Amino acid sequence: MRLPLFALRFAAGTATLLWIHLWKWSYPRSSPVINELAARELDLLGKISSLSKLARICIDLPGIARSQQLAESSPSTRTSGHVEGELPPVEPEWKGRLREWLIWTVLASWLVMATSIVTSFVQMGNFLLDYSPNAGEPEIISPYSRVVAIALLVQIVSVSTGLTALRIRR
Amino acid sequence: MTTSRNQLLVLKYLSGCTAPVAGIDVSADLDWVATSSVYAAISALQARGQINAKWDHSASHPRRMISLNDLGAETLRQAEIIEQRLSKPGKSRSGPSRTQEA
Repeated sequence: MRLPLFALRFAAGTATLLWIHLWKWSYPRSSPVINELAARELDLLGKISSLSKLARICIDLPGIARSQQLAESSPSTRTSGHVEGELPPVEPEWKGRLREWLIWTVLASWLVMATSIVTSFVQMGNFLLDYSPNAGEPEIISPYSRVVAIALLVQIVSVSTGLTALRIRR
Repeated sequence: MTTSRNQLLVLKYLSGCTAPVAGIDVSADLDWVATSSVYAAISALQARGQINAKWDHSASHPRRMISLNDLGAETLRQAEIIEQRLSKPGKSRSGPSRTQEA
């Protein structure tokens, strides 16, 4: 019974690590502090923290990253004693906000898609597609397929537009 | 701007320290609060300028050392005044009492 628990913890640890990297990407000047926290709380090869602790980290992380970026962007509140070249240069506030918005958009989009597919299965007994009685080929029969298509489209447009804006407006 | 319970806890902890202390040690001492929540409180306090922070590179991993500054001490003092007022419900409101009016 220990293997399923380890697998669950390992999966949760990996997801938390991915979440940590997303927020470090979103607010790069908060990286040293997030690294300090991650070094203490998350060790995939050693002792993995409990699921509740990992969930707490995931909930607290956006707040930590946002505040720390804000603190490091102002000379009066910045952490002194940084090693030269350790921190990226100060960037406009909108860049962090845009990266954060991309994260939430993708997350919301996946949530909508997952909910639609599960609802479709529960209500209609199919995953959006089913074999047509006439043609004998798979065809889209569920109305939830439109929701999934819109969510996917919003995601693709947001990410491509956002990343392009971040690349153009340096 | 409101100060959360965790932020007040950190401010209170720092007020009892004579030298800068590592954020990781604060979370170890406030062990009933999740480490990440203590970090969130510290980051918010730093962004508001209520604590000073400095990296210490003497250990194997760099540690962020934090200390209370004047603004943080003033915030803590005001929070304690409000807490004292709330703990004495009879004296919390100004103005004459019913018995005096009668």
